[in-house]
Amino acid sequence: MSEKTGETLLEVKNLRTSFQTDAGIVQSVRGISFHANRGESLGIVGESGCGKSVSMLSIMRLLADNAHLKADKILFNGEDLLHKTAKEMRSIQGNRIGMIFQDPMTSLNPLFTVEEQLCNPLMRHLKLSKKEAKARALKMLEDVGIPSPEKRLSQFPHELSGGMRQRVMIAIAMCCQPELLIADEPTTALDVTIQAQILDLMAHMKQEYGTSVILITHDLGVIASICTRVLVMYSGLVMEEGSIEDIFYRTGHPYTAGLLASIPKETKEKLIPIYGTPPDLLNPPKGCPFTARCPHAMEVCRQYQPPLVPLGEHHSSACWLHHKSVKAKIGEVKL
Amino acid sequence: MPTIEPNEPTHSLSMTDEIPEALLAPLSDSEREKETISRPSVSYWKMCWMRLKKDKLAMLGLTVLVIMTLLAILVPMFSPYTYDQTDFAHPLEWPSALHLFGTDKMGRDIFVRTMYGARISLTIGFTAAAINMVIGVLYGGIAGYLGGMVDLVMMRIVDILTGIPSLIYMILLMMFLGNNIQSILIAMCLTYWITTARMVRAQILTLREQDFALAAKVCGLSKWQILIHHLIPNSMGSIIVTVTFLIPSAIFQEAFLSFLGIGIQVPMASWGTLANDAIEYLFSYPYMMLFPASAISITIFSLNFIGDGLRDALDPRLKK
Amino acid sequence: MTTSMTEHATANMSVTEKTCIEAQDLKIHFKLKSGFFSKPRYLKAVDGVSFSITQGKTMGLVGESGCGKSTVGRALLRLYDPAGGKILFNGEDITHSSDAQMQPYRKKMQMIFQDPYTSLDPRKNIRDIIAEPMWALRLYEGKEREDRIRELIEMVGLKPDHLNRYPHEFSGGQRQRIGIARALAAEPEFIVCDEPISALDVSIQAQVINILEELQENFHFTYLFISHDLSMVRHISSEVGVMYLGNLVEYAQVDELYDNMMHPYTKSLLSAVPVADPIRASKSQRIILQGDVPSPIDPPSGCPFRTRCAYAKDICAKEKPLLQNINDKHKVACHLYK
Repeated sequence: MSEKTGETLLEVKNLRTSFQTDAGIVQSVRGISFHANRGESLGIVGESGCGKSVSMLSIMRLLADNAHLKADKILFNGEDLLHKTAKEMRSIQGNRIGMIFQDPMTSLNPLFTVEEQLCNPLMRHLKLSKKEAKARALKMLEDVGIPSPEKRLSQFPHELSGGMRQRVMIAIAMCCQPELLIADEPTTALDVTIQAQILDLMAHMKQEYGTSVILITHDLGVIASICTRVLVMYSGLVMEEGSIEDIFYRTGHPYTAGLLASIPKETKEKLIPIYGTPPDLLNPPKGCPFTARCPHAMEVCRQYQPPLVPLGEHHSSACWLHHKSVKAKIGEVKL
Repeated sequence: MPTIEPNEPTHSLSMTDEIPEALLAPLSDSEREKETISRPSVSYWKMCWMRLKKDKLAMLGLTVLVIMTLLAILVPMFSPYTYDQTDFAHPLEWPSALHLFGTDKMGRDIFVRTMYGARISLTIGFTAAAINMVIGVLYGGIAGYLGGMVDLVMMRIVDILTGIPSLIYMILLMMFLGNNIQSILIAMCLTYWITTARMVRAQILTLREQDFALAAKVCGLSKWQILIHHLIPNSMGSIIVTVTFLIPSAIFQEAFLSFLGIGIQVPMASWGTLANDAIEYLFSYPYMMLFPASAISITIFSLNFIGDGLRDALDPRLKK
Repeated sequence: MTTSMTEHATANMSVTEKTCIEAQDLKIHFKLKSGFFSKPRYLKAVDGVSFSITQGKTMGLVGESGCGKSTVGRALLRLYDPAGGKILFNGEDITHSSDAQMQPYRKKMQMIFQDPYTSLDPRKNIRDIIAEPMWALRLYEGKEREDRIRELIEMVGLKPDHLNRYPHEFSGGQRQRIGIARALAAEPEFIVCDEPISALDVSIQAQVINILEELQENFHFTYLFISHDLSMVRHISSEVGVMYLGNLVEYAQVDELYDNMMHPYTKSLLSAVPVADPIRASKSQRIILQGDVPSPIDPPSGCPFRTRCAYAKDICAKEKPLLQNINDKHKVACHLYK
């Protein structure tokens, strides 16, 4: 797969997802465009409700009935996912795109053994025989570092610990050797020592299978330890996009800067929080959604949503501070 | 899939346009309202009512029930006939403008009798449900909250009570206390609360482990204060649903007892006695059975619709 | 020179400053469901933990889920009955006080909960929630109470016109601040902060931490800050205890702990925390622990950590190491240091 590394694997243009609820229409994703390259790990960071999980579920077409999905295009490996039927999508879900969720207890079926849950996708997607599937399942469990895999195969999810369940989830997601692995907060429910084990395992699996990874998280520490490129989302929009160095050392958006400043440093200096609360997506603001919480907010921010503009080769940010009129008036703002 | 067209975020100013000077003014703190909540404030009960209003079947049930109640109150008050007024000149008359539902073998007006029966049936239904709710909530609440040995003993008593076939002691009790509304109510109150009690206990058991119950203890509330101010109000939704379903079964039980002839006695009228009266004329004068039977069915259907609607409105997670 | 000055200062302070809360060999055991006639089994959630917190200071308590850190916090507030040991609040023994005897202490000891979604009663509006401790403990009446509620809601950065709203209308961070306002309503001296930020978004965590710090400066509160977020614990605490499987394995003054950690568990715990800095993250070496935390129902013999410890020796299986002084600011329970 190495010769293809760097090619675009997933391309999403102008994705919008909204939900019909009792209170009204919630606009969870409000027009995001991004891509993921082969062999890279893309991190998507943002706070709860910013649309990061919903955008991934939209791509996988795993949304609930009250959802409404619209996009200019969703291309996976050149194939249009947007117009595939539910049946066609099923041959992609869990086969060519694997998924890991936050809570391994709810994403594993409590009524089936580990063996059944691991072998089913192998028999369905790869058309392996029962025996071949079992052999493959055993190897997968070994690969994800589960001790005495034969014993684990016949166990039910509730007999496993949290870290063990997440390993089984990874084994299930990786067993068909997907081209893309989407991991939605895979370590949030785990303790730090177990999180370290899982992150290590994910890095190892990526190396071994050459899979591209999209990692959704709210933890900038997790992003820093395994991602190469980052997408910062807020209120259903992409605020900033860039390489990991761009995001951490050449920050181009006040929101990203605010996130970085909220993390405690080793010195005991006072934290600089982002004041306020994200806007209600039932009735999102007209202009930039971060206006109310932004220390640099101007009148223009309240009225117009800034477009995503390039700052460097792969670095772009949606903020009026990068506009020439603003620079002319107040100069470059140090974020 | 519903068709939703969300508003598009405005991109009408591009990066190449000049930004007018006026738009570059920094926003003051008051202009950047940080802690606004744009949704209107609604309490839990208001939200439930809003959800219930959207449920057409439940609203239909509610309307029918209100009309039935109004008729039950007003018809016997303003009708030219009373429920026990006999007219041996006009027995067994088919429905007409004079007697909307016809008359029975003693010339009594079946319309008035059905509506008078509604009074009795609805009174029994609602009273039984209310009494059972009180007993059930107290019993289940105490068992659930005190837990341990108290809970064990209280729930075993419940198990024993469920083991006794209710019809047997109901019949015995009616023989002992006489055939009237009070004794039907007493008979029903003996065991009907068990469903409510079990449900409340289960609710309390989960609720008392919630952080807000612990927080109340930290704030210095006593066990009873926590039970009354936090745990019971939080299980009220499920209690109401259970009780709503208790009403139709109480109505049905009364009708059944009266139909067997051990409930309300003629000339008093309940839907059960009316049906009992009609049984001997089922083939020759079927209208006599039609009206009281329809009244029972319509009322029970309505109450079930309301119960279903309430269940979905109070706990939307249960909705399919 | 600076060290001698701080030492001097601590020596001085120990004379004037008094201990707010103290746990002596605290044990909390939960009875497990078992058959009617079989011997009852116990889960030793906390198995002999001792520490004390000086008035106006913050002690951080870290460890993985199930290590008993939350149980310690709840036990100090007497939400559980201790199976052994002692709890002293301002020097008074409250280990076996009944609910009624606890009433005067409830004013002074409060708690902030982890999950802002379950810790506020969903059926009550914000005014009633904040007024609850005042109502239960008979503090303030009528207009005075209303004024106090308004003052409290503004103290945590919300507005008086939010008072008639219900919890579900607020975001997680706002709810957590309402929880803080409720804790303050009783005018406490000691507050147990049970993972107060772990359910919140990063941008919101700093808000809550800053509020807690400001309140401590203004009102001289004593905190027990329970968290698994080691960087936040470093930021807010003056002393830190590390728990593993119901035991305190290391206890030290904060900078001493982070600069000179001794217990193998503390070391791996700290190295496992992901650093939000790509350059440092790529350089740092993670010590990855093997396996999971053993079940507290059936803990390993001797040292609880020995099953995952890279340095385990024979003695670790035989003898449980005791918490011993390394220096006056540092205690550790490990056979490596003897």
